[in-house]
Amino acid sequence: MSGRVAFRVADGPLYEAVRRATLHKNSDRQASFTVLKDADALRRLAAQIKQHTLENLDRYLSQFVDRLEAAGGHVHFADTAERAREIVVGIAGQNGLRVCAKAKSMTSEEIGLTEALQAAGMEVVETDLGEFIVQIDRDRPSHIVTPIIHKTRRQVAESLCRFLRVPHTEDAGELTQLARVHLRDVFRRADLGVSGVNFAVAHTGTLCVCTNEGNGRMVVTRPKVHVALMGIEKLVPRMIDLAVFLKLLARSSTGQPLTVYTTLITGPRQAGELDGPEQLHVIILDRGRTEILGGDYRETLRCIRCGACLNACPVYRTVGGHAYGSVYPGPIGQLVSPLLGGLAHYHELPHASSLCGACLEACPVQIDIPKLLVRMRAETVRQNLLSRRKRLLMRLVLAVLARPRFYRAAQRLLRWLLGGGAGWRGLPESLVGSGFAGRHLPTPADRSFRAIWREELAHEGRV
Amino acid sequence: MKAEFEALRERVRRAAGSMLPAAGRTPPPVAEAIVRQVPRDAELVDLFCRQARLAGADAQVVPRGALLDWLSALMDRLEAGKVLIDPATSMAAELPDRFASRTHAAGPELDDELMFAADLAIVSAVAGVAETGSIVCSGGAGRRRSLSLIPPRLAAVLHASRLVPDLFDLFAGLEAGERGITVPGNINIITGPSHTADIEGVLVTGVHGPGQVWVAVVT
Repeated sequence: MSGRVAFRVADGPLYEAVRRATLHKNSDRQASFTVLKDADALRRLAAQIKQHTLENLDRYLSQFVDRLEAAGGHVHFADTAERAREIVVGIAGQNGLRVCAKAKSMTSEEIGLTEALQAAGMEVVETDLGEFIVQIDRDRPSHIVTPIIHKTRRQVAESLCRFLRVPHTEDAGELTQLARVHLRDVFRRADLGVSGVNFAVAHTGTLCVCTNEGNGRMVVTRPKVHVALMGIEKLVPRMIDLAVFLKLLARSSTGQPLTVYTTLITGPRQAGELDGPEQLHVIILDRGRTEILGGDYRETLRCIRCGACLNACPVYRTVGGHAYGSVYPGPIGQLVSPLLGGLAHYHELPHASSLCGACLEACPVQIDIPKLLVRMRAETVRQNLLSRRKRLLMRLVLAVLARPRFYRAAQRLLRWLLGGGAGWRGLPESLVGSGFAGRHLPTPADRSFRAIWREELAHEGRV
Repeated sequence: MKAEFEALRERVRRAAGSMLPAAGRTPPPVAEAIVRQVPRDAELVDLFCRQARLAGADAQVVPRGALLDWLSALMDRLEAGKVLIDPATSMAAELPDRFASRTHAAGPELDDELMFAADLAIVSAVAGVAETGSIVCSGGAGRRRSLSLIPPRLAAVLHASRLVPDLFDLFAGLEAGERGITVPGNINIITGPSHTADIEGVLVTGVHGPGQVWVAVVT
């Protein structure tokens, strides 16, 4: 993970694209939940099942590995991103594989797999439409479900038409057809398919992969070797648990009752079957996850990567996904990025939230993101990660807030400074930092809350 | 690899603190009352067709005796020149003679050229889910996983008796099956045509999978 946290209000077209798309997805999500009889009970059950799985994860891992091997799959374990890359490159080398078709997988982004396979001489093609555009643009995804949410149709058209050397068109249908034709050729040539995993069923050794476009199915069906990447937290105990999670996943992501393709994979091609991969390799990644499991942020591992918290978040909507400087943006990314990539590197992230609670309200597995962000803020103070200016400012705020007399004086001062005009338009970066630069302080109300309150009490004869 | 797994499991065991009392070791029951949305005694055929249409598929009720006519009419309407038929069914043999030159059983001899050149695939679904309007296709001996994926149009034959009310029923069936029978190596639950909304949220069908889907619910 690289990049730099840079919270700025996004520029015009980007702001508009992200705002429109997230608002749309957010209202679709809400509408799709209204048809459920008792959505809250279902979310609670999903949270309980994931929490239970995490608390018994060693057992479920053993069971999953046994069943998957019995079904003819190969299992590999990777402590680190480096080890995971090495394993996949090794599989490709041993089998003499040349062309890799990739389905969208946040875990593969996390470990930088594409670059490793390319360095080993392979042709690697992202086959999800959005990821394909990201790849030909040498860009980065800005959303975990909709990678090009930050691009306008015109930008997509320019990249795609230039890459494919075809006349310019901005028709979404035509653009999709162009990509389809190009990627069909890739699917026909690919001998390695790399996918992520949405859920892994311990009891049967089954992988569940959910996609809408069908590229995921191509990737797990056509190439002779299929490599599936999963974090240790993807497990659920039983098949029946999928009924719970599938009812929540697509609704939370896109407002659909179910993704177009829900693929259940239990082992490679069976005897007598006419297609399907000859080899199935599952790579189980730790990379800091056991540390999260053993610490104060265990519940973040319940996350099913639906993206609902991104769409619901007023901060994400304003700054866009790249501002987070990490593979995992948005509210859940504000927790997961520091946990996986180090708090020292991502110490601004837990602070970049208004703690409004929209993420918790949207989360299908009820991760209490606001509570955990506050906990992590305390951690940044304990580890002395705040800038000197912020520390000074906070000390000043504390001194004022803790003493009624200072508070009253500060209030009078501010009212005097801001009163009469239109407040303070455009705060300077030197005072408030990049996150708040350019924002406005409004004109104070005619009478302060304290003044009104005093009068109310006097009215009731209590003073 | 064994050692790597043991190390990981030990780490996980410590982190999870899983010296739990026995009660904590059984997963929470998946309460039917919470999960089920469609009652067991619901009118499934109508609901399935409605939900499938909402998902963008064209679902129709077809009496058993009229199935071949229905398929013939579809092929005529689409002017389909290359039609692939699920090798797990006898449909290829039963269609009228005039289709003989246009239809191909997608058996072991099918080559990739034809697979990618086909206009239409006809598959038989092993189950349907009324709640979501989904058809279920299974892999296994003699079957081809990609038949319901590669041709740009898909027609599925689903017997009404194979309909289940809810995803709960589908997975409860797989759950029960896992003790006696093994779960098939590949199951696809297909809900409507392939689609994307990656470009400015505009819905486009037919990305990598079929852009048009018909379902004949045979009664």
